[in-house]
Amino acid sequence: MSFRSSGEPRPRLLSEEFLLLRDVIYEHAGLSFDGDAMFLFDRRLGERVEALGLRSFNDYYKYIRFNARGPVELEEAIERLTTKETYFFRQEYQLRAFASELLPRLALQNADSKRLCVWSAGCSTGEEAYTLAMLVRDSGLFEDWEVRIIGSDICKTSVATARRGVYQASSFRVTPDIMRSRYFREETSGTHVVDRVKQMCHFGQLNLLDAGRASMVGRVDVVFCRNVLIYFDLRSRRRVIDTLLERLLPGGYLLLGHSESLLNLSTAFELVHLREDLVYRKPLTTERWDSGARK
Amino acid sequence: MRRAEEIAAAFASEDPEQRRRAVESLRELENEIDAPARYVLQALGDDDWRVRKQAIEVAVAFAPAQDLLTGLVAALKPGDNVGLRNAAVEALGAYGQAAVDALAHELPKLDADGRKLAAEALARTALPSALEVLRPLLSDHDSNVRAAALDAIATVGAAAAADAFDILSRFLQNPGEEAFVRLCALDGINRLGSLLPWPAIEAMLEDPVLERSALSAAGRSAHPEALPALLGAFERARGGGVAAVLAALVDYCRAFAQNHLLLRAEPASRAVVARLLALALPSNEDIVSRKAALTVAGALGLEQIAPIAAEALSDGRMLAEADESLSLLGSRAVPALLERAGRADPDTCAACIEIVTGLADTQSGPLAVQEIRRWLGTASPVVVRAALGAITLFGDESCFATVSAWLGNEETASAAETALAALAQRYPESAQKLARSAHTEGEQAHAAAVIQTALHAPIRDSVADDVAYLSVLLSNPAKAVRRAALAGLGNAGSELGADAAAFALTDEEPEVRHAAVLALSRLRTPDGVLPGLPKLLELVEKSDDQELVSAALGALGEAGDGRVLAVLRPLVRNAPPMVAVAAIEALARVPDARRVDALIEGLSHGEPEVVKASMLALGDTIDPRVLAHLGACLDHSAWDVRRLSADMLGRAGGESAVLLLRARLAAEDNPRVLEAINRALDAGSGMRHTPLPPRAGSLRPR
Repeated sequence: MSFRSSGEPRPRLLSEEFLLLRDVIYEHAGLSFDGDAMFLFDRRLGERVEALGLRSFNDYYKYIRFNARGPVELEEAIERLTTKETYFFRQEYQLRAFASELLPRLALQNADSKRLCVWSAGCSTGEEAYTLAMLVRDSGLFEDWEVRIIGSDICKTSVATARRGVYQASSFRVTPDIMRSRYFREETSGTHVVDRVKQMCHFGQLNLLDAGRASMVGRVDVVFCRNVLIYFDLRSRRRVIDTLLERLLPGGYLLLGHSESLLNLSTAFELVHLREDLVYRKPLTTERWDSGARK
Repeated sequence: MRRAEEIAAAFASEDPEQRRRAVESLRELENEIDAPARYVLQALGDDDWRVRKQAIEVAVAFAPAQDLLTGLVAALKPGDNVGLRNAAVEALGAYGQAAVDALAHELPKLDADGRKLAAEALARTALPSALEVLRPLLSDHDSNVRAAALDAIATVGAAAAADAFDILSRFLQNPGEEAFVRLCALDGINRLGSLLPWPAIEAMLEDPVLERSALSAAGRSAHPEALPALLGAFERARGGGVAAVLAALVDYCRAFAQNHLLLRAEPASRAVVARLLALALPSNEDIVSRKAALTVAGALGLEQIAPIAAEALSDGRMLAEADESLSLLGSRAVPALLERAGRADPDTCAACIEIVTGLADTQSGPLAVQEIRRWLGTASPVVVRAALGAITLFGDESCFATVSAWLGNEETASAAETALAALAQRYPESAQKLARSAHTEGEQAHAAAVIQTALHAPIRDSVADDVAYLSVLLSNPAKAVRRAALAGLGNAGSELGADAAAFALTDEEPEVRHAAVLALSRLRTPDGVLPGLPKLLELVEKSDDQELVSAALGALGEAGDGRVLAVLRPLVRNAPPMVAVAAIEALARVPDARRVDALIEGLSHGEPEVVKASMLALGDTIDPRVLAHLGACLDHSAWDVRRLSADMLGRAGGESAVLLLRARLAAEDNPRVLEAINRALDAGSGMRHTPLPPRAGSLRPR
């Protein structure tokens, strides 16, 4: 029987079990958790230990490693550990820079193709992707254009939430009233993103370390990857940045979280000083001196 | 030749992106061009930072190329190109002992700027051998060089903490030294996490140059007089000073919490309270200060923090500090937690219930349970499991029916069984009555089986009656009931259940078969013989079902019978990983000294998981061979084996372990393993006194 005679309501995570679980998650998804995350593991994965009727986190580790359903459970564990709290119009200064400086530049840059693609990499439950869609729409610069806002996240349930586009009060802590009245409608089930914005957005599940699957995103003009790199260690961050670079069109922009930078990660981006923000740009250089050497 | 021309042309380009790519390509073209080092050195002095950064990466990749090393050291000599000198410092760090030797040789020839840069480069090597090269720089006539040397000693000190602390603390006591140089020494001590005596810290608080770093030292001191100083500084702090004092306060609070002390005797001023509460609000985008404010406010016993902390439980980033804050507040946090639980998403609601359960005592617990029970009807499984956890600790006799109702739900059955068993042990008479009146169908049957597992047999008139009842349950259509019945049979401990348990090995459900295996390991004849043992050994020998074999091995280990050693040992080296791990865990429980040899054999298994299991099993063994074998695992091809080896050596401690770890430090390139080695060296040195961040269950002032 699986009940514990110790009288503890549920098993507690021991430090060695934490390190073992941390290793397996790193190995699978490149996600890096520091010692502070032990509490998060205990709380979020303790639920799984209980639900599976296991006696300890060590049993849970072995379940992940050896059980036929281990790979599925590993995905579940990652989902439970990475769900981010987010909300519409987060980090307003950066969004202002996007709307007032980057969008006009892109409107000129892509005037011939009339195509714009923005990728919210690590979109969590979709608030950022929808915010970007609203800003693009509000700019009035892209009427009759083919506009695609792509949202991706490693967490399946977050992606499902994003697709639904129905949110509760906590997602609206800084949403301007005018945007709320323009792009949302209230229903008993929650606050719904209006269809004309939803239609611009496309969501998918993606591990940013999986460069092969990332290629499904296509080429994009802007990548928002805010507060995502913090989950990766240096080595994995470099791989993620390489993937983002690969997906960006020449002259495309990369926006990171306010405490993140490419220092010691990549030299492949130029730094662009906007009025309100610093962003990165993939160089426009088209002709490579070493094209022969690389073939 | 053509390559060299192409490279030269690209290096002459006005477009920095062309130059950067040319540098990037040097790694691929290393063997196609003459003297690639000259291009790297040229690029290290480029005008554009991206080209210099790229060149550093290439220089590091070329380590330990002698011509490049010579050029890098030469770059520290007097010159106008500051970018080149800084880039050389960064690259030299990757050249390890070769850089230490080269810099030791060249130091006398360098000017003051060069010596300062050399100290920085030595710091980047992170080698203890750099200490001896740095020591003479402490008497350099140039104060900037002395400061850089102190800073470097603190950095290198991670690998030689005792030596570094000795050097830095003696330097700090030199009153004739310039204040900013003493500041470097103090910062170094803070970085090492070492403790200074309170009088020394107190004196430095008066010095405007040293004050901020002295506050950081005060935070770790846990001295009673440090708190007023810290709170006063927090109230006065402006700009970046706020975060610094707050971090010191967090250290202080955690040092107290680790000793199960509370800070509530120290009243905080209104300004301090207002500032802490404002910083803890979700509108504060600075996560670090928000977390710190939660911890400090909880430790100071500010009740106003309870609803803010309860709100923060839904944010994964804040979870640990929110829990810490609420736990430090104690029972005064309960109303806010119950209010939050009533309107929260399932995960947050479950977290609230768990924290309430952890905070409650025998008086407040039952009241909280009453409140929590009201939500159970409509709650999600996550919430139900948390609520059942509360009942496990504080439920009363009236909870039997509530708990039994959740036995039939697969997602809550395990938590309900735990709660029911706890209730049965607290109220055995009621439980016995319930079990005796139970039918052989439905939730009552399940409850009866759980009760028979939790209480001493017999529950009915005789053990034979108990076994007869449970044997009937083995035909119950619900697999959870059959599983519970087998657990009950095992608890009855009589050989009377052996045949029924053995037949249950044919059950179609794996979990029932596993329960049968466990039951067989627990049955005993009156003279202590294990009637199920032959069956279990046969299973290990003949079954192809790896999960079942693993369960049988676990049961054999639990039986603690020395005869199983011969069965387990051959499995350790060659069995499939799942079985080998189970055999190792079983071996660890066998009371026979020969098990150590068998466990050491497990270290040779081809699968890293088996090696790790062997290491963990050996970890608690007192045997002189173990340390050497754990040390050998530092060279294993799998990084996670090396990581575990480092952590286990750190835990073992002692001079031999430290030597093994230091030896590996120079050769290791995996960041996870390097982190573990440094962690282990910290643990081995016994110098670190910086309080730990929150850990599950470690900070509860219960």
